[in-house]
Amino acid sequence: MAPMGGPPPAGGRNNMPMRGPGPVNTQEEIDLARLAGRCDEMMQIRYLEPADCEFAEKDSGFIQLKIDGKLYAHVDVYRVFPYTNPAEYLSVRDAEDAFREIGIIRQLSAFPEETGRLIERHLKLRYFTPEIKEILFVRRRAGVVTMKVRTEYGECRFAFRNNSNAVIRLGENRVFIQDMDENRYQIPDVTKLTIREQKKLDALL
Amino acid sequence: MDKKPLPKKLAETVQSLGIAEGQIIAFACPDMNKDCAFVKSYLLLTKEMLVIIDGKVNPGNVFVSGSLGEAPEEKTDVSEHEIRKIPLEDLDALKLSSQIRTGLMYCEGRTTEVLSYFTIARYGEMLQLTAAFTQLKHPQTGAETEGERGRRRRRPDAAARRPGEDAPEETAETEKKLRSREHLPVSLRLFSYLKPHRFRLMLVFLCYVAVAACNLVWPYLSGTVLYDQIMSRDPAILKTLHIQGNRFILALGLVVLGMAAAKFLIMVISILQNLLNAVISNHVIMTLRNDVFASMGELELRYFQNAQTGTLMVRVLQDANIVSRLIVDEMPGCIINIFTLVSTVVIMFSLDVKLALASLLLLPLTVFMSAKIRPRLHVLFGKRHRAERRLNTALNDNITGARVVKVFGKEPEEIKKFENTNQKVQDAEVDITKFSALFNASYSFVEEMSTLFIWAVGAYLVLRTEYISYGLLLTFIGYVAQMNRPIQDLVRIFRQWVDSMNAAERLFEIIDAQPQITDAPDALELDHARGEIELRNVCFGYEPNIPVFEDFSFKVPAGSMLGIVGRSGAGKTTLVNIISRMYEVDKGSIRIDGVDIRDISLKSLRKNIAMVSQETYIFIGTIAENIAYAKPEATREEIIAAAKLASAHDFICKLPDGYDTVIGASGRNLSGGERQRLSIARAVLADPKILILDEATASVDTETERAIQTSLAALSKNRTTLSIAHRLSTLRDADYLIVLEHGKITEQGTHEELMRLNGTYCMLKELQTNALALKGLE
Repeated sequence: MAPMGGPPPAGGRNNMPMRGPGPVNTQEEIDLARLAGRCDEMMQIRYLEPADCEFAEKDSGFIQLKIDGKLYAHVDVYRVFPYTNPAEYLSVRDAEDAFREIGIIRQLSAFPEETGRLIERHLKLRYFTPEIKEILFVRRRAGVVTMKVRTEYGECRFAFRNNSNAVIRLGENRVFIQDMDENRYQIPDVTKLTIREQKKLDALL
Repeated sequence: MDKKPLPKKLAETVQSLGIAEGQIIAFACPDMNKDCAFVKSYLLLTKEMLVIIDGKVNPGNVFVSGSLGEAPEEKTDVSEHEIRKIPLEDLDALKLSSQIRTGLMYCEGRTTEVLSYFTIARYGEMLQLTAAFTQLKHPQTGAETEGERGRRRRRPDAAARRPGEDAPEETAETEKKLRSREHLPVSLRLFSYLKPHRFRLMLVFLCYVAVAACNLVWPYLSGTVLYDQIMSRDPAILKTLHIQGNRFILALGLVVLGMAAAKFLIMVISILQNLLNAVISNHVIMTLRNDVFASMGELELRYFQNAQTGTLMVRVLQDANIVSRLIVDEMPGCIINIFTLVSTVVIMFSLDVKLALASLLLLPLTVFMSAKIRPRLHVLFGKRHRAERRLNTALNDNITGARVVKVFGKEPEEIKKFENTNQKVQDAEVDITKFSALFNASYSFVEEMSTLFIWAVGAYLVLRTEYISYGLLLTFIGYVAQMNRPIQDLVRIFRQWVDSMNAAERLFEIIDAQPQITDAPDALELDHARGEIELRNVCFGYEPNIPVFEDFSFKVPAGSMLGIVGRSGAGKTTLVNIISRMYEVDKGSIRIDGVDIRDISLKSLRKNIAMVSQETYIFIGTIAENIAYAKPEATREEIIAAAKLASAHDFICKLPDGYDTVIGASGRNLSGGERQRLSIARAVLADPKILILDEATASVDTETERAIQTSLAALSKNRTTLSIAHRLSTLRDADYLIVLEHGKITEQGTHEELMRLNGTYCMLKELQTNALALKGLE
C-alpha cells in the first residue's frame, strides 16, 4: 500500500491545504502529495455537458466517448437512481480503467437524440427488467413459487423462494420480483392487473 | 468440466458442420440478443474454433429462468439459426462483462467485439466456457480459479435476522415511583383514550345487551313455552299468540321461527360488534403507541440507556395491545357478563324459588375451580412459554453466531446445551398435558354433577309437586348452562385486569417521563455560529457519585481541529456527548461562541453539530434517504456530492440499485466501512459548523481511511472539528491535541510539542508506528 516513489501529481497540490505540521518524513510527504493530487478527482463530480462529449457505438458493440480530446474506447453507463429517476443522473465510467467515473449525465434528454437512443439501448440491456403484462400462472410448493407471465419480451417462466426478499414493493403499487437467478421482473402498477391476477399476487405479498 | 449432452436437434446441426460431439470442449447457451429479445443461442468451443449459433427472434420464444431447467426440446430448432465460426487463432481472449441484470461476452484479438448477450442466470456456464478457452489458449495460466469462480454460488440471500425477542420483563420499580407524577388512577386515564369512541362504544354496549337478551329468551322459549305450553296444549299460548281455533302446529311454527330469529339476531349482532371492536381497539392501540413513541423521541439518551431497549420495545408494542384488549374487548364483556348473571338469577327466582336455590347450590364449586385451580394451568403455560423462548434464543444465537461456534469448534457443546433446553420444553409440555387433563376432566365432572343435581332435584319436584312442569325444569337447565360462561369470563377478566393495569402503568411511565434536557424559555437561535467551543469547570458523571469529569476546562478556537487521544474509558466519547448536549453537565458550563449551550435552542444546537460516531446506524430506507436524513429536502445533486465527498459514490454506483438500494433491517447488508462512509455523507450533507468524529474511520481499511481523511480534511475547512481516534494516524491533521486519562487532560499541545514531551502520546505514537512498520504499512 505504500506508494513507493509514485509520480508526483500534476496539479491540485495547493487546492488541499494540509493543516498541522505533520511529521517530517519524505515518504509521508510524497504520500500526502499524491493523495492531494487524487483529492480533486475524488471529491468532485463532473457533470458532462452535451457540447463536450461525443458518444458513439463502435463495431465492437461498446460505447466510446471522446471528451477533452481524450478517447475512452469502452465506457459503461450506470443509473445512479435506477428506480426513482431512471433517465437522469447517469454515471459514465471507464470500463478499461477500473470503472473510474468520467462524469455524470444530468439529463439524457439534453443530449442529441442519437446519443440518447444509444445510451438508452445499453441501459435497457444493463438493467434488463421485463415488465409483467399478464400473470398466467402461479404455483406455490414447498416455499418455492413458480410463475408464468407474459412480458413485453414474451412469455417468461421463473421461480423464487417465497420466504426471502424476492418480492420488493417500491412505492404504493410498484412491485419487483427477483427470481432465484437474480433476474428481475417488474409490475409498474399492481392495480392495473385484473382482480384475478391481483389475487394470485396477493398470496405472495 | 461436467458435460451435459447436447440437445438432439443441436447435435444434428453440429454434425452437419463437420464437428464430432467429442470434439466439443465447452458449450453454453446465451439467451438474449442485443435488443433484449429472448433467443436460444449456442456457443461451442472446440480445439480449432468457437462456433456461435445465433438464435432467431421468434414471438413464440419462452424465456425460462435458469433454475427451472431447459425449455422443452422441440422448441430448440436450430436449422434456421445463423452460424458463425471464428478460428481460435483470431481470438486472444474471451471476456465477460457483468452488466447489472445481464452479461455480455466479448472477444479481444483481431477485433474487439461483443459476441453474445445473456441473462444473469447463464453467467456461470459462460464463465466456464471462457475459462475453458483460456485454459486452451494459455495452458499455464490459472484458468482453474476462474472456473471455480463460475461454480461458486453467488451471494446468498441477505436473510433478515432479528435478535431473539427475549426481552426482560422486569421494570425498574423505584424509577417508576419516582417518575409517576400523574395522580390520576391508571384505569381512569385509560378511559380518556376511549373518549373519541363514545358513540361506537355505546353501540357496542347495545349489541352486548341485545345478545344477552336473546340469550335470555332462548331457554325460556325452548323450555317453558315449547314443553309446557305448546306440547302440553295449553290454550293460553294460543291466546297470547292471537291464534284462533286449536292450531297448535301453527303456534309451534311461530315459536320455532322466533327461536331461529333469536339465534340469527345473535349472529348478526355479533358480527357488527366484532367489527366495531376491531375499529376501536386498533385506533386506541395506535394512539397509545403514538403517544409513547412521541414521548420517547423527546427523552434524552440517558433514558434509553437506563431502560433496556428490549424492554422499551416490548412496552411500545405489547403493552399497548394488552391494555387496549382489556378496555375494548373485556370491559364491555365484563359489564355484560354481570348483567347476564344478575338477570338470569332474577329470572330464575321469579320462575321458581326452590328450583333456583337448588340450581345455585353447586355454583360456588365451579367458581372455585375456575378461580383457584385454573390459574395453576396458566403458571404452567408461562413456564412453557419461557422454556420455548429460551429455545428460540439458543437457536437464534447459534444461527447468528454460527461462525464463532465453528471457529472455536464448539459444536458438541452447543448441541448439548440445545438438548438441555429442548428437554426443558418437553418437560414443561408434559406438565401442561398432565395438569390440563386432570383439570379438564375434573372440571367437566363437577359441571356435570351440578347439572345432574339440578336434574335430580327438578325431577323430584316435578314428581312431587303440581306446579313445576317438565318444561320449566328444562328452562332452568338451560339457564344454569348459560351461567357457566359468564362466570369463567369474569374470572379471566379479573386476572387480566391486573396484567393490563401493570402494562398501562408502564406505558404511562414513558408518556409521563419528562425530558430532562429541554429548551430554556428564552433559548437563542444560533444562526451564524463561528464554532468556538469552550468548557468551563465542567463536572459530569453518568452516576452522580462516579464523576467522569471534575473541574474540566479547555477551549477550541473556531475553525480548528482538535484531536482527542486516550485509552478506552478515558472519557472521550463522554466529552463529545456532553458537548452535543446528549447529557446535561452537572456543574460548570459548555459554551459555543461564548453562549452557554443550555441557552441555545436544541434545534439550532443540533443543526450546528453533526456527529459521525463509531456506531453507525442505518435506517430502513434507500441509500439516498439515509444520506438525506438530516436534510430531507436535499436535491439529488447534493446527495451525490455528499456521497462523493465521503468516498461513497463509487461503491454506491456499483450496487445494482444505486442510490435506490434499500438498506436497513431486511434490505441489503453493507459492510462496516460502507456504513461508516454513509454516515459521513450524512454529516457532510447536514453541513454543520461543528463536526464531531468519534472513531469515524475505525472500521475501514487503511486505504479507505486515507481517502476518507482527505475528504474530512477538506470538509473540516471553516469548521470546528473534534476528532477522537485510537489510531493516531487519523489525527495527523489536528491543529491541537489533548490526551485524556481518567477524565483529565494529561498532555496537550501540537504534535511536535507532545512528541517532545516524550509522554503518553509519544509512546502511543511510537507503538503504533512500530506496529504498522511490522505489518509493512507505513
